[in-house]
Amino acid sequence: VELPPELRAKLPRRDPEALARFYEIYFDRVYGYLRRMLGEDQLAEDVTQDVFMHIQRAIHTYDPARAPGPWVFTIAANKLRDHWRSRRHMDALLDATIDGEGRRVEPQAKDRGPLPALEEAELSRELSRAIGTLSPPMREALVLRYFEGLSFEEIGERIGRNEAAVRKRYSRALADLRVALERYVLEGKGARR
Amino acid sequence: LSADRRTSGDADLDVEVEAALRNCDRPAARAEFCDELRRRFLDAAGAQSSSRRRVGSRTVWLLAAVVILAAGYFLLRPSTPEWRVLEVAPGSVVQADGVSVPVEDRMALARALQNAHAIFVESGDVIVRAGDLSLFDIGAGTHVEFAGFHPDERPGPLLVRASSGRLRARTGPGFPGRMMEVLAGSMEVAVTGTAFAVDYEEAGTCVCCLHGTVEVKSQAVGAEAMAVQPGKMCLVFRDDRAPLWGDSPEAHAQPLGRLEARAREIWP
Repeated sequence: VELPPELRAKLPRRDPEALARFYEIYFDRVYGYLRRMLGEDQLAEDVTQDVFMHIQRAIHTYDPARAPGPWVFTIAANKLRDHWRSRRHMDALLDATIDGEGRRVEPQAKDRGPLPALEEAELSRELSRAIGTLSPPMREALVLRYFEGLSFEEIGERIGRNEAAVRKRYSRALADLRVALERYVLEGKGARR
Repeated sequence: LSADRRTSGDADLDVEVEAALRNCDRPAARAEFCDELRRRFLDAAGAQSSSRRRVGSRTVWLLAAVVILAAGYFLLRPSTPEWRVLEVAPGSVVQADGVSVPVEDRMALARALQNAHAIFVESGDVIVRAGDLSLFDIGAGTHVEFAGFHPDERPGPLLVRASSGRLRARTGPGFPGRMMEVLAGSMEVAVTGTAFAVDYEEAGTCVCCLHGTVEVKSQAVGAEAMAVQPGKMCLVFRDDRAPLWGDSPEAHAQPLGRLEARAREIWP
Protein backbone atom coordinates (compact mmCIF):
# COMPACT_ATOMS: atom_id res chain seq x y z
CA VAL A 1 0.00 0.00 0.00
CA GLU A 2 1.38 3.40 -0.95
CA LEU A 3 0.12 6.90 -0.19
CA PRO A 4 -2.30 8.18 -2.88
CA PRO A 5 -0.81 10.91 -5.12
CA GLU A 6 -3.27 13.57 -3.92
CA LEU A 7 -2.10 13.08 -0.33
CA ARG A 8 1.55 12.90 -1.35
CA ALA A 9 1.27 16.40 -2.77
CA LYS A 10 0.12 17.67 0.64
CA LEU A 11 2.94 16.11 2.63
CA PRO A 12 5.55 18.85 2.14
CA ARG A 13 2.97 21.37 3.46
CA ARG A 14 2.52 19.18 6.56
CA ASP A 15 -1.16 18.67 5.91
CA PRO A 16 -2.54 16.85 9.01
CA GLU A 17 -4.66 14.40 7.02
CA ALA A 18 -1.76 13.48 4.72
CA LEU A 19 0.62 13.07 7.66
CA ALA A 20 -1.85 10.89 9.57
CA ARG A 21 -2.34 8.62 6.57
CA PHE A 22 1.39 8.55 5.93
CA TYR A 23 1.96 7.43 9.51
CA GLU A 24 -0.70 4.72 9.25
CA ILE A 25 0.92 3.28 6.15
CA TYR A 26 4.56 3.45 7.14
CA PHE A 27 4.70 3.00 10.89
CA ASP A 28 4.26 -0.78 10.86
CA ARG A 29 6.59 -1.21 7.91
CA VAL A 30 9.36 0.88 9.43
CA TYR A 31 9.02 -0.68 12.86
CA GLY A 32 8.89 -4.19 11.37
CA TYR A 33 12.00 -3.54 9.30
CA LEU A 34 13.93 -2.10 12.25
CA ARG A 35 12.73 -4.77 14.68
CA ARG A 36 13.99 -7.48 12.38
CA MET A 37 17.25 -5.69 11.79
CA LEU A 38 17.91 -4.88 15.43
CA GLY A 39 16.40 -7.91 17.13
CA GLU A 40 15.18 -6.02 20.20
CA ASP A 41 11.90 -4.25 20.88
CA GLN A 42 13.41 -1.38 22.83
CA LEU A 43 16.10 -0.65 20.24
CA ALA A 44 13.56 -0.87 17.45
CA GLU A 45 11.34 1.64 19.26
CA ASP A 46 14.25 4.04 19.79
CA VAL A 47 15.33 3.98 16.16
CA THR A 48 11.74 4.08 14.84
CA GLN A 49 11.23 7.21 16.89
CA ASP A 50 14.38 8.73 15.40
CA VAL A 51 13.16 7.89 11.90
CA PHE A 52 9.76 9.53 12.29
CA MET A 53 11.13 12.59 14.04
CA HIS A 54 13.65 12.96 11.21
CA ILE A 55 10.87 12.57 8.65
CA GLN A 56 8.85 15.16 10.51
CA ARG A 57 11.72 17.67 10.31
CA ALA A 58 12.61 16.87 6.70
CA ILE A 59 9.16 16.35 5.20
CA HIS A 60 9.37 19.65 3.32
CA THR A 61 12.21 18.14 1.25
CA TYR A 62 10.11 15.17 0.12
CA ASP A 63 9.41 15.10 -3.64
CA PRO A 64 5.69 14.29 -4.14
CA ALA A 65 6.41 13.07 -7.67
CA ARG A 66 7.93 9.95 -6.15
CA ALA A 67 6.43 7.31 -3.91
CA PRO A 68 7.43 7.92 -0.29
CA GLY A 69 8.51 4.31 0.33
CA PRO A 70 12.08 4.53 -0.98
CA TRP A 71 12.58 7.89 0.75
CA VAL A 72 11.28 6.55 4.06
CA PHE A 73 13.41 3.41 3.92
CA THR A 74 16.50 5.36 2.97
CA ILE A 75 16.05 7.41 6.13
CA ALA A 76 15.41 4.25 8.14
CA ALA A 77 18.52 2.57 6.71
CA ASN A 78 20.62 5.64 7.55
CA LYS A 79 19.33 5.70 11.12
CA LEU A 80 20.09 2.01 11.39
CA ARG A 81 23.66 2.61 10.26
CA ASP A 82 23.96 5.47 12.74
CA HIS A 83 22.95 3.04 15.45
CA TRP A 84 25.41 0.40 14.32
CA ARG A 85 28.18 2.95 14.42
CA SER A 86 27.14 4.15 17.85
CA ARG A 87 28.97 3.45 21.05
CA ARG A 88 25.94 1.66 22.44
CA HIS A 89 25.99 -0.90 19.65
CA MET A 90 29.76 -1.36 19.85
CA ASP A 91 29.47 -2.07 23.57
CA ALA A 92 26.73 -4.61 22.92
CA LEU A 93 28.87 -6.32 20.28
CA LEU A 94 31.75 -6.49 22.70
CA ASP A 95 29.53 -8.07 25.35
CA ALA A 96 28.26 -10.60 22.83
CA THR A 97 31.80 -11.53 21.86
CA ILE A 98 32.84 -11.95 25.47
CA ASP A 99 29.81 -14.15 26.08
CA GLY A 100 30.88 -16.33 23.17
CA GLU A 101 27.91 -15.59 20.94
CA GLY A 102 28.17 -15.32 17.21
CA ARG A 103 29.95 -18.63 16.74
CA ARG A 104 29.07 -20.25 13.48
CA VAL A 105 27.92 -23.83 13.47
CA GLU A 106 28.61 -25.72 10.30
CA PRO A 107 25.68 -27.50 8.69
CA GLN A 108 25.10 -31.19 8.95
CA ALA A 109 25.65 -33.19 5.78
CA LYS A 110 22.57 -35.04 4.68
CA ASP A 111 20.39 -35.69 1.67
CA ARG A 112 17.26 -33.95 2.86
CA GLY A 113 16.71 -31.02 5.18
CA PRO A 114 14.97 -31.38 8.52
CA LEU A 115 12.44 -28.58 8.07
CA PRO A 116 9.44 -30.86 7.49
CA ALA A 117 9.89 -31.93 11.11
CA LEU A 118 8.92 -28.44 12.29
CA GLU A 119 5.34 -27.33 12.77
CA GLU A 120 4.39 -24.15 10.93
CA ALA A 121 4.14 -21.94 13.99
CA GLU A 122 7.33 -23.31 15.40
CA LEU A 123 9.07 -22.82 12.07
CA SER A 124 7.89 -19.21 11.89
CA ARG A 125 9.08 -18.51 15.43
CA GLU A 126 12.44 -20.14 14.91
CA LEU A 127 12.84 -18.39 11.58
CA SER A 128 12.33 -15.02 13.22
CA ARG A 129 15.00 -15.88 15.76
CA ALA A 130 17.35 -17.11 13.04
CA ILE A 131 16.92 -13.90 11.04
CA GLY A 132 18.23 -12.07 14.07
CA THR A 133 21.45 -14.07 13.95
CA LEU A 134 22.28 -13.14 10.35
CA SER A 135 25.00 -10.59 9.74
CA PRO A 136 23.54 -7.09 9.25
CA PRO A 137 24.20 -6.89 5.47
CA MET A 138 22.58 -10.27 4.84
CA ARG A 139 19.70 -9.50 7.19
CA GLU A 140 19.11 -6.20 5.43
CA ALA A 141 18.97 -7.84 2.00
CA LEU A 142 16.61 -10.51 3.29
CA VAL A 143 14.29 -8.18 5.20
CA LEU A 144 13.98 -5.64 2.41
CA ARG A 145 13.38 -8.43 -0.11
CA TYR A 146 10.84 -10.48 1.80
CA PHE A 147 9.16 -8.17 4.21
CA GLU A 148 9.20 -4.96 2.20
CA GLY A 149 8.88 -6.59 -1.23
CA LEU A 150 11.70 -4.64 -2.84
CA SER A 151 13.43 -5.91 -5.97
CA PHE A 152 17.13 -6.73 -5.86
CA GLU A 153 17.77 -3.64 -7.96
CA GLU A 154 15.85 -1.41 -5.54
CA ILE A 155 17.70 -2.88 -2.58
CA GLY A 156 20.99 -2.27 -4.39
CA GLU A 157 20.10 1.38 -4.91
CA ARG A 158 19.21 1.69 -1.26
CA ILE A 159 22.40 0.21 0.13
CA GLY A 160 24.81 1.35 -2.57
CA ARG A 161 25.59 -2.09 -4.00
CA ASN A 162 24.92 -3.57 -7.42
CA GLU A 163 22.15 -6.06 -8.09
CA ALA A 164 24.52 -9.03 -8.32
CA ALA A 165 26.02 -8.25 -4.93
CA VAL A 166 22.56 -8.03 -3.38
CA ARG A 167 21.56 -11.37 -4.92
CA LYS A 168 24.68 -12.91 -3.47
CA ARG A 169 23.95 -11.53 -0.02
CA TYR A 170 20.41 -12.76 -0.22
CA SER A 171 21.51 -16.20 -1.34
CA ARG A 172 23.99 -16.41 1.51
CA ALA A 173 21.28 -15.27 3.92
CA LEU A 174 19.05 -18.15 2.82
CA ALA A 175 21.93 -20.57 3.22
CA ASP A 176 22.62 -19.28 6.72
CA LEU A 177 18.95 -19.50 7.66
CA ARG A 178 18.96 -23.07 6.48
CA VAL A 179 21.97 -23.79 8.66
CA ALA A 180 20.35 -22.17 11.68
CA LEU A 181 17.15 -24.14 11.25
CA GLU A 182 19.02 -27.39 10.80
CA ARG A 183 20.99 -26.68 13.93
CA TYR A 184 17.78 -26.01 15.81
CA VAL A 185 16.25 -29.29 14.76
CA LEU A 186 19.32 -31.44 15.10
CA GLU A 187 20.96 -29.94 18.16
CA GLY A 188 18.99 -27.33 19.98
CA LYS A 189 15.33 -28.35 19.85
CA GLY A 190 15.53 -31.00 22.52
CA ALA A 191 17.61 -28.84 24.80
CA ARG A 192 15.14 -25.94 24.66
CA ARG A 193 12.18 -28.01 25.70
CA LEU B 1 27.21 -24.62 3.13
CA SER B 2 28.12 -22.34 0.31
CA ALA B 3 25.36 -20.70 -1.69
CA ASP B 4 27.33 -21.57 -4.78
CA ARG B 5 27.60 -25.27 -3.98
CA ARG B 6 24.08 -26.39 -3.35
CA THR B 7 22.87 -29.92 -3.59
CA SER B 8 19.44 -30.81 -4.94
CA GLY B 9 18.35 -31.36 -1.33
CA ASP B 10 19.48 -27.85 -0.42
CA ALA B 11 17.53 -26.38 -3.33
CA ASP B 12 14.38 -28.02 -1.97
CA LEU B 13 15.18 -26.59 1.40
CA ASP B 14 15.55 -23.09 -0.03
CA VAL B 15 12.02 -23.32 -1.34
CA GLU B 16 10.89 -24.27 2.12
CA VAL B 17 12.78 -21.43 3.75
CA GLU B 18 11.41 -18.94 1.25
CA ALA B 19 7.88 -20.24 1.75
CA ALA B 20 8.29 -19.99 5.50
CA LEU B 21 9.57 -16.42 5.13
CA ARG B 22 6.47 -15.45 3.20
CA ASN B 23 4.32 -16.74 6.06
CA CYS B 24 6.40 -15.11 8.76
CA ASP B 25 4.45 -12.27 10.38
CA ARG B 26 5.88 -8.77 10.55
CA PRO B 27 6.86 -7.91 14.15
CA ALA B 28 4.22 -5.67 15.69
CA ALA B 29 4.99 -2.68 17.89
CA ARG B 30 3.36 -2.03 21.25
CA ALA B 31 0.11 -0.15 20.75
CA GLU B 32 1.14 2.45 23.39
CA PHE B 33 4.36 3.18 21.55
CA CYS B 34 2.56 3.45 18.20
CA ASP B 35 -0.02 5.87 19.65
CA GLU B 36 2.54 7.97 21.51
CA LEU B 37 4.77 8.34 18.48
CA ARG B 38 1.76 9.18 16.30
CA ARG B 39 0.79 11.94 18.72
CA ARG B 40 4.32 13.36 18.73
CA PHE B 41 4.65 13.06 14.95
CA LEU B 42 1.39 14.88 14.27
CA ASP B 43 1.70 17.41 17.10
CA ALA B 44 5.16 18.51 16.04
CA ALA B 45 3.97 18.88 12.46
CA GLY B 46 0.96 20.90 13.57
CA ALA B 47 3.08 23.17 15.74
CA GLN B 48 5.43 23.96 12.89
CA SER B 49 2.56 24.53 10.51
CA SER B 50 0.66 26.91 12.83
CA SER B 51 3.76 28.85 13.81
CA ARG B 52 4.33 29.45 10.12
CA ARG B 53 0.80 30.81 9.72
CA ARG B 54 1.21 33.17 12.71
CA VAL B 55 4.25 34.81 11.30
CA GLY B 56 2.69 35.11 7.84
CA SER B 57 2.22 38.87 7.44
CA ARG B 58 5.31 39.77 9.40
CA THR B 59 7.25 37.42 7.17
CA VAL B 60 6.17 39.32 4.06
CA TRP B 61 7.73 42.53 5.36
CA LEU B 62 10.82 40.75 6.52
CA LEU B 63 11.15 39.07 3.15
CA ALA B 64 10.88 42.40 1.39
CA ALA B 65 13.70 43.76 3.51
CA VAL B 66 15.78 40.69 2.89
CA VAL B 67 15.24 40.98 -0.87
CA ILE B 68 16.47 44.58 -0.86
CA LEU B 69 19.52 43.68 1.21
CA ALA B 70 20.22 40.62 -0.91
CA ALA B 71 19.98 42.64 -4.12
CA GLY B 72 22.51 45.10 -2.73
CA TYR B 73 24.78 42.29 -1.67
CA PHE B 74 24.68 40.58 -5.04
CA LEU B 75 25.45 43.82 -6.83
CA LEU B 76 28.41 44.60 -4.62
CA ARG B 77 29.67 41.19 -3.61
CA PRO B 78 33.02 39.75 -4.60
CA SER B 79 32.75 36.73 -6.87
CA THR B 80 31.44 33.99 -4.60
CA PRO B 81 33.39 30.80 -4.84
CA GLU B 82 31.62 27.57 -5.58
CA TRP B 83 33.83 26.09 -2.91
CA ARG B 84 33.30 26.86 0.74
CA VAL B 85 35.60 26.38 3.66
CA LEU B 86 33.59 24.80 6.46
CA GLU B 87 36.23 24.28 9.13
CA VAL B 88 39.80 25.30 9.66
CA ALA B 89 41.61 23.81 12.64
CA PRO B 90 43.46 26.36 14.79
CA GLY B 91 47.05 26.81 13.66
CA SER B 92 46.41 25.49 10.16
CA VAL B 93 48.92 26.47 7.50
CA VAL B 94 47.70 26.15 3.95
CA GLN B 95 49.46 26.73 0.63
CA ALA B 96 47.77 27.17 -2.72
CA ASP B 97 50.13 26.63 -5.68
CA GLY B 98 53.05 27.02 -3.31
CA VAL B 99 51.88 30.31 -1.80
CA SER B 100 50.73 30.54 1.81
CA VAL B 101 47.10 31.57 2.10
CA PRO B 102 45.71 33.42 5.14
CA VAL B 103 43.29 31.03 6.78
CA GLU B 104 41.40 33.65 8.77
CA ASP B 105 39.40 34.87 5.76
CA ARG B 106 37.47 31.80 4.72
CA MET B 107 36.06 33.40 1.56
CA ALA B 108 39.55 34.26 0.38
CA LEU B 109 40.78 30.82 1.35
CA ALA B 110 37.94 29.16 -0.57
CA ARG B 111 38.68 31.24 -3.68
CA ALA B 112 42.36 30.41 -3.45
CA LEU B 113 41.72 26.71 -3.04
CA GLN B 114 39.20 26.54 -5.83
CA ASN B 115 41.49 28.19 -8.33
CA ALA B 116 44.67 26.46 -7.22
CA HIS B 117 46.21 23.57 -9.12
CA ALA B 118 47.89 22.22 -6.01
CA ILE B 119 46.96 22.53 -2.36
CA PHE B 120 49.21 21.70 0.54
CA VAL B 121 47.91 21.61 4.09
CA GLU B 122 51.20 21.92 5.89
CA SER B 123 49.68 21.66 9.35
CA GLY B 124 46.23 21.60 10.91
CA ASP B 125 43.15 20.41 9.08
CA VAL B 126 40.72 21.94 6.61
CA ILE B 127 37.24 20.81 5.64
CA VAL B 128 36.00 22.18 2.34
CA ARG B 129 32.78 21.79 0.43
CA ALA B 130 32.99 21.57 -3.35
CA GLY B 131 29.50 22.79 -4.22
CA ASP B 132 27.08 19.90 -3.88
CA LEU B 133 29.59 17.43 -5.25
CA SER B 134 31.59 16.50 -2.20
CA LEU B 135 33.05 17.38 1.16
CA PHE B 136 36.79 16.97 1.64
CA ASP B 137 38.68 16.78 4.88
CA ILE B 138 42.32 17.56 4.10
CA GLY B 139 44.67 16.67 6.90
CA ALA B 140 48.12 17.84 7.91
CA GLY B 141 50.90 17.03 5.47
CA THR B 142 48.53 16.45 2.57
CA HIS B 143 49.37 17.44 -0.99
CA VAL B 144 46.28 17.29 -3.14
CA GLU B 145 45.24 18.41 -6.61
CA PHE B 146 41.68 18.64 -7.85
CA ALA B 147 40.45 18.69 -11.44
CA GLY B 148 36.93 18.88 -12.81
CA PHE B 149 35.39 20.57 -9.77
CA HIS B 150 35.46 24.14 -10.99
CA PRO B 151 32.12 25.29 -12.46
CA ASP B 152 33.95 26.65 -15.51
CA GLU B 153 35.53 23.31 -16.27
CA ARG B 154 34.04 20.96 -18.81
CA PRO B 155 31.82 18.30 -17.19
CA GLY B 156 33.68 15.03 -16.94
CA PRO B 157 35.30 12.78 -14.42
CA LEU B 158 36.40 14.41 -11.22
CA LEU B 159 40.06 13.84 -10.56
CA VAL B 160 41.78 14.02 -7.19
CA ARG B 161 45.48 13.36 -6.86
CA ALA B 162 46.61 12.90 -3.27
CA SER B 163 50.32 12.35 -2.95
CA SER B 164 50.84 12.50 0.82
CA GLY B 165 49.06 12.89 4.13
CA ARG B 166 45.42 11.98 4.55
CA LEU B 167 42.33 12.88 2.59
CA ARG B 168 38.75 12.02 3.41
CA ALA B 169 35.80 12.57 1.14
CA ARG B 170 32.06 12.23 1.26
CA THR B 171 30.10 12.79 -1.93
CA GLY B 172 27.01 15.02 -1.97
CA PRO B 173 23.64 15.21 -3.70
CA GLY B 174 25.16 16.79 -6.83
CA PHE B 175 27.42 13.80 -7.33
CA PRO B 176 25.16 11.00 -8.62
CA GLY B 177 25.87 10.40 -12.28
CA ARG B 178 29.46 11.59 -11.91
CA MET B 179 32.57 9.52 -11.32
CA MET B 180 35.49 10.44 -9.12
CA GLU B 181 38.94 9.02 -9.66
CA VAL B 182 41.47 9.36 -6.89
CA LEU B 183 45.12 8.82 -7.67
CA ALA B 184 47.03 7.89 -4.57
CA GLY B 185 50.57 6.72 -5.10
CA SER B 186 50.45 3.54 -7.15
CA MET B 187 46.70 3.18 -6.59
CA GLU B 188 43.75 4.36 -8.62
CA VAL B 189 40.56 4.57 -6.61
CA ALA B 190 37.29 4.75 -8.53
CA VAL B 191 34.36 6.12 -6.56
CA THR B 192 30.66 6.22 -7.35
CA GLY B 193 28.94 7.94 -4.45
CA THR B 194 30.40 7.19 -1.08
CA ALA B 195 32.43 8.19 1.94
CA PHE B 196 36.02 7.08 1.81
CA ALA B 197 39.49 7.89 3.12
CA VAL B 198 43.00 7.72 1.73
CA ASP B 199 45.81 7.65 4.29
CA TYR B 200 49.50 7.57 3.57
CA GLU B 201 51.13 5.48 6.25
CA GLU B 202 54.72 4.56 6.78
CA ALA B 203 54.03 1.05 5.52
CA GLY B 204 51.94 2.02 2.52
CA THR B 205 48.72 3.64 1.33
CA CYS B 206 45.43 2.75 2.98
CA VAL B 207 41.99 3.19 1.41
CA CYS B 208 38.98 2.88 3.72
CA CYS B 209 35.32 2.83 2.75
CA LEU B 210 32.55 3.92 5.10
CA HIS B 211 29.71 3.25 2.69
CA GLY B 212 29.01 3.22 -1.02
CA THR B 213 31.16 1.91 -3.82
CA VAL B 214 34.93 2.18 -3.80
CA GLU B 215 37.08 0.19 -6.18
CA VAL B 216 40.84 0.00 -5.95
CA LYS B 217 43.07 -0.66 -8.91
CA SER B 218 46.75 -1.23 -8.44
CA GLN B 219 49.40 -3.57 -9.73
CA ALA B 220 49.70 -4.85 -6.20
CA VAL B 221 46.00 -5.70 -6.12
CA GLY B 222 45.96 -7.43 -9.50
CA ALA B 223 44.71 -6.83 -12.99
CA GLU B 224 41.10 -6.36 -11.96
CA ALA B 225 39.74 -3.53 -9.83
CA MET B 226 38.82 -4.80 -6.37
CA ALA B 227 35.98 -3.42 -4.27
CA VAL B 228 36.62 -2.16 -0.77
CA GLN B 229 33.52 -3.10 1.19
CA PRO B 230 31.84 -0.70 3.64
CA GLY B 231 33.67 -0.69 6.95
CA LYS B 232 36.74 -2.27 5.34
CA MET B 233 40.16 -1.15 4.18
CA CYS B 234 42.78 -2.07 1.63
CA LEU B 235 46.40 -1.32 2.52
CA VAL B 236 48.85 -1.39 -0.38
CA PHE B 237 52.36 -1.69 0.98
CA ARG B 238 55.31 0.24 -0.34
CA ASP B 239 57.32 -2.95 -0.62
CA ASP B 240 56.36 -6.15 -2.43
CA ARG B 241 54.08 -7.54 0.22
CA ALA B 242 50.56 -8.52 -0.83
CA PRO B 243 47.87 -5.93 -0.06
CA LEU B 244 46.21 -6.24 3.32
CA TRP B 245 42.40 -6.37 3.42
CA GLY B 246 40.53 -6.02 6.67
CA ASP B 247 38.41 -3.82 8.91
CA SER B 248 38.96 -0.08 8.76
CA PRO B 249 41.28 0.95 11.58
CA GLU B 250 39.57 3.12 14.15
CA ALA B 251 42.04 5.95 13.57
CA HIS B 252 40.87 6.17 9.94
CA ALA B 253 37.21 5.34 10.45
CA GLN B 254 36.51 7.84 13.20
CA PRO B 255 37.41 11.03 11.29
CA LEU B 256 35.52 9.64 8.32
CA GLY B 257 32.50 9.12 10.56
CA ARG B 258 32.77 12.74 11.70
CA LEU B 259 32.85 13.93 8.08
CA GLU B 260 29.79 11.78 7.40
CA ALA B 261 27.98 13.44 10.30
CA ARG B 262 28.96 16.85 8.96
CA ALA B 263 27.64 15.89 5.52
CA ARG B 264 24.31 14.85 6.99
CA GLU B 265 23.94 18.20 8.68
CA ILE B 266 24.43 19.88 5.32
CA TRP B 267 22.55 17.39 3.15
CA PRO B 268 19.95 15.74 5.42
